[in-house]
Amino acid sequence: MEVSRAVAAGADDGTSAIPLSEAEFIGRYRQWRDPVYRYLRARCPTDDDAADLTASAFERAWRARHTFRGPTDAYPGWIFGIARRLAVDAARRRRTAATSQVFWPLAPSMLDPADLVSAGEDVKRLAHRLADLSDLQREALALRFGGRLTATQIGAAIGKSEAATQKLLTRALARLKEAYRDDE
Amino acid sequence: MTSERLEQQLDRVYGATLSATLAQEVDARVFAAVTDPSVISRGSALGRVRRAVLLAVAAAMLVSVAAFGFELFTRILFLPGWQVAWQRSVEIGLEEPVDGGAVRLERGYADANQVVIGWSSTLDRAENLSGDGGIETLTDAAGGRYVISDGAGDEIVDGGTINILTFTPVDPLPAGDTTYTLSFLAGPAFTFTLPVVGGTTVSPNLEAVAGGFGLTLTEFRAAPSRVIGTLTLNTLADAPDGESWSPIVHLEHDGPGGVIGTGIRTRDDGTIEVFGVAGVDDASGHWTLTITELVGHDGGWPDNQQIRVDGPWVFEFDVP
Repeated sequence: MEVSRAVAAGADDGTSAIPLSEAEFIGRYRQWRDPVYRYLRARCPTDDDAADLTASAFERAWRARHTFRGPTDAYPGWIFGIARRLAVDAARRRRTAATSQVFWPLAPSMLDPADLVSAGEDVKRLAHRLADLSDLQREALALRFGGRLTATQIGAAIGKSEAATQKLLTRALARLKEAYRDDE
Repeated sequence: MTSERLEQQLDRVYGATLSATLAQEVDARVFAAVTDPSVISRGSALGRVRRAVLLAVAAAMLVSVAAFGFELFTRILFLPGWQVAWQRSVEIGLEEPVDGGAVRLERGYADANQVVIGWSSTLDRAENLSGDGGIETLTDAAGGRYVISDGAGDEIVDGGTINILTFTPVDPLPAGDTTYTLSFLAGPAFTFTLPVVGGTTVSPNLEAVAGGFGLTLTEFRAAPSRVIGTLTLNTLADAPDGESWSPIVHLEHDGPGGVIGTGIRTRDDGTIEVFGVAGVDDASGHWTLTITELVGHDGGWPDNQQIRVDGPWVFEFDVP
């Protein structure tokens, strides 16, 4: 059975030369299901849409598992890359141009009901400010705060270096803070 | 606005929670894909090899014990926790000949609170394997102890049976691969490895007193397929005479689990095990365990009278 099968034929750089086994894949699915969903929830209009894409991402990952050759810490960038492409495709199907991606950070289900009253205004203001950011900046923030990814992992998902990603995040946060200052 | 405050707000904006219902749907789709032998990693040389192996295995099955379909077992997955376990199970795929047929361990799942094994046989009556005692035993390589807790089975129209067996570990199982041996008293023994999903264990040590009884919730273990609470019963001076007290239990979680159906079992050491027939992926949040009544009897014979003692005994605790 696959459970007891070790990752064989690993190269010296720690990469896996065989597809993820069933047990390995399931272990990573358990670890990353909710972060992938949180990221996709920021890219989809409803909970159902985000859950559907989450399942699709892991289904696609399972079918394409032979393409994963990285070390263990490369997995988040790989799976979020798949999720991101699915989100872009879904946005396109919703007749939204891929270059003008839509984010949906205001869905009530994203917040505890108790928070809605007290935090409603703050969140609405933050959403307006997010809309002023570039698509790529919003993408990086969704991966950082929804997917809980590091700058390195975000970079792997969006095809940028760690340094460039870090700069992207820093500028996005600085722009949000600046917008707050302008309001005050 | 400080950077810390801004990041807190972004955490909340992007902190969507996957509901239990949607999580089950996502799990079902993903695990169905993983366990579907027709879904093979496309394009790889290994995929082609595996495809050939699968065809060979399929051919072999025609003359060997039937490997029953993943979906077939859904007819006997009576508890929500079993359904979760089955969706997340891994293939075992071991079979042994027995007198008059063969037995096959199909799939298995293990978390901190439960080991669930699906097996099939070509025998008409699966209980033939259990001997007069009707007991299967499970042991692990580390000497862990298990109590058989539940089971279900069904006969297949064209011969054979499908069966679910569940075992409760005496001590919570740590996460990681564990090697088990399942022995049928009148049949074969199988050794296999399962990846154990961890769980969360807390020790509330809360006591509630009502109706002459003190109940203490000493331990609470949560895992994806089952939650288990351990209660000790202390009979006070003003308690009514009686014996074999069993609680009527209501369990609530303010997280995705919501209200969880419950059962009870009295252990050999006298403690009372309260278990949820469903589990939770994320145990964090506020839990409320309410015992509304204790039900016992007066020990009389032949007219045994039921005694009911009103509570409530309420235990509220938080799991970080």
